[in-house]
Amino acid sequence: MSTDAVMTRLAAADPARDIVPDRDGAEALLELVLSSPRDRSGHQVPVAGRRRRGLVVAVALSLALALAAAALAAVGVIRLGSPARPSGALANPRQGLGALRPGTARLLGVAVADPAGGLAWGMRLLGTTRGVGCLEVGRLLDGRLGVLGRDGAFGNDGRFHELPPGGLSGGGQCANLDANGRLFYTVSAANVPASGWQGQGGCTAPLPPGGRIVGLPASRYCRAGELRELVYGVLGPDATGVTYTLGGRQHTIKPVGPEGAYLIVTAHSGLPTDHGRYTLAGAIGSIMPLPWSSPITSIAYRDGMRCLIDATKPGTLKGQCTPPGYRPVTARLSDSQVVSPIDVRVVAMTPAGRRAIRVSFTARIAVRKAGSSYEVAENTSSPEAVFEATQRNINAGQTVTWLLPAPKPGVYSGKIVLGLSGAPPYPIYTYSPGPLVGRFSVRVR
Amino acid sequence: MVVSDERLVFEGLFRANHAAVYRYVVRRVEEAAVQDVVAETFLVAWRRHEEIAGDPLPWLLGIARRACANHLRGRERRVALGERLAAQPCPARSSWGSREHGELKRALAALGDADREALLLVAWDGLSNREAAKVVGCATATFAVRLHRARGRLAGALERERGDRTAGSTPAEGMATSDVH
Repeated sequence: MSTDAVMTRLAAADPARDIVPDRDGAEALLELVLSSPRDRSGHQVPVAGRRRRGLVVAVALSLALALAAAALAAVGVIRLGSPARPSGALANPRQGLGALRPGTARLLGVAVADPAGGLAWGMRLLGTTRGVGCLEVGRLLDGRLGVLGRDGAFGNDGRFHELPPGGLSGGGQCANLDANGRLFYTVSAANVPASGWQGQGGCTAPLPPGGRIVGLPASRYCRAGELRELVYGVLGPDATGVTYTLGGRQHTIKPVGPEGAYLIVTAHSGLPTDHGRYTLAGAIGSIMPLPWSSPITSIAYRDGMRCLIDATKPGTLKGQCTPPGYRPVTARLSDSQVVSPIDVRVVAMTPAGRRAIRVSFTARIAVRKAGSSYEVAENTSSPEAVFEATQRNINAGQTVTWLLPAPKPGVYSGKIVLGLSGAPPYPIYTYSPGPLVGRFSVRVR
Repeated sequence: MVVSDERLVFEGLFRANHAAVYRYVVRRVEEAAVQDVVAETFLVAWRRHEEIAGDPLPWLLGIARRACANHLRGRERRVALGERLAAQPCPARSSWGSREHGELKRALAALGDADREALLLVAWDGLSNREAAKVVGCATATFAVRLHRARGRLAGALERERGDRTAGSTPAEGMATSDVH
């Protein structure tokens, strides 16, 4: 096929060719954008500016409430509520992220004041049975990590609810451990309620102008002053200083403990926050902080090395540092080490004689890590293209079987690979299918 | 009522380009996030529209490009294979997900990010080499070379896809190792 024909074919496949945006929605967006004051320097956050007066009032109110709570806590009056329920993310030691590995959950030595006062923020690190490390943040009370019954959480009961270790109830952030079994992970998270609670029942961060969640009453959105930006992570034992810029001022903090833990907490408007140099919206995780999503400008290390986060070219990894001590997980397997005969047959399923394709093979390589899975991918030329991954432990010699739907007659074909991912995959996801177990093809009549 | 010139200028810019920006974003992020990313693009544009020199569309798409990239980076890292493919710059819309485009989708997914971006800016967003070069921030000549190479690579990837489609099972014997991953 000529390259011109390729371009013609590509243009014809444009998925948005026939899409016409809703005019009323566009006009509403225009109105909201124009109501946002401009800063000719281009460095001010318009939404924050527009709401400054409300924010001041809300922060003052929150401050008063938090000070009251802090005063109560100081004299031991803040009441304990029931512990938060585990999320179920770490329920099974042999599948998904795995389960809490005993003895790995520990509070890290950071305690950071909330902008509105009250209980300090802290952070916990834990490891799982499937080679994953997780960071949980929350409020601290007597050496325990928990969340507060406010901002809609726990019926606004004002109590402290402990986050049970291994429950990941508070919206933990997880990534694959490196080859030495250590976690190197940094997170920038906007829209975290001041309660610390990121599960069901808490308030929802407002959407940008023009956006709303259908069916969600206005009272369920977080109000100004109820949200925080959390910038945190573990940089390894050699990190000695984290420098960041917020509000035009430069700060340097010292990472804590052998994990090199740091935590920065600031107030957040709830809308995507453009700080000029970087924008925060949602949660972003990566091995090292990224200049377009973090206020961090540089990290100093024990050997005199200084990693300039600013030097990373936006949208790429050029200039990005590899943190000292980090050893990437590398997959060294070839096709010949994993290739195995694939048994494929059409089977009748009850009821009503529905048919399916049973694909099975005997695994030659065991899988024990969350970052690895045997994956079956049917070609998109098949009447029904299905992708599935084991996402559980597989022993060498174990037979792996998938039942794939075959609702229509035709030739179903595909391949099985051993997908291997590094730790963690960052910052731009690139898919590497890994070594090939084999291909299959079967006709369904 | 006095309406400032800058408001009028921006209103004109918005109305002339909103649809193009919207479609650009639709092609690159999942449906649920489109409104957010478009809104973020125009908020940034409103704040900085004094920076515009020449045609505003490449400038706006440059902002949208960064907004899309920020959004995609924030998505969950551990995703299943299906989601990974869906995360390629093609939302799972009905036309794109259809069988006849499957081969093309896989071929596109096999390309590098820069190649894919060059192709889509021209084929889908309808930009000239000069406009597309402004979006990605390089010289027109550099972009032209990148596009030329990307076209060749896509043609090659499509040929390989056809080869894959006709290949059968490749069984092998033995179970020699007990490595753990």
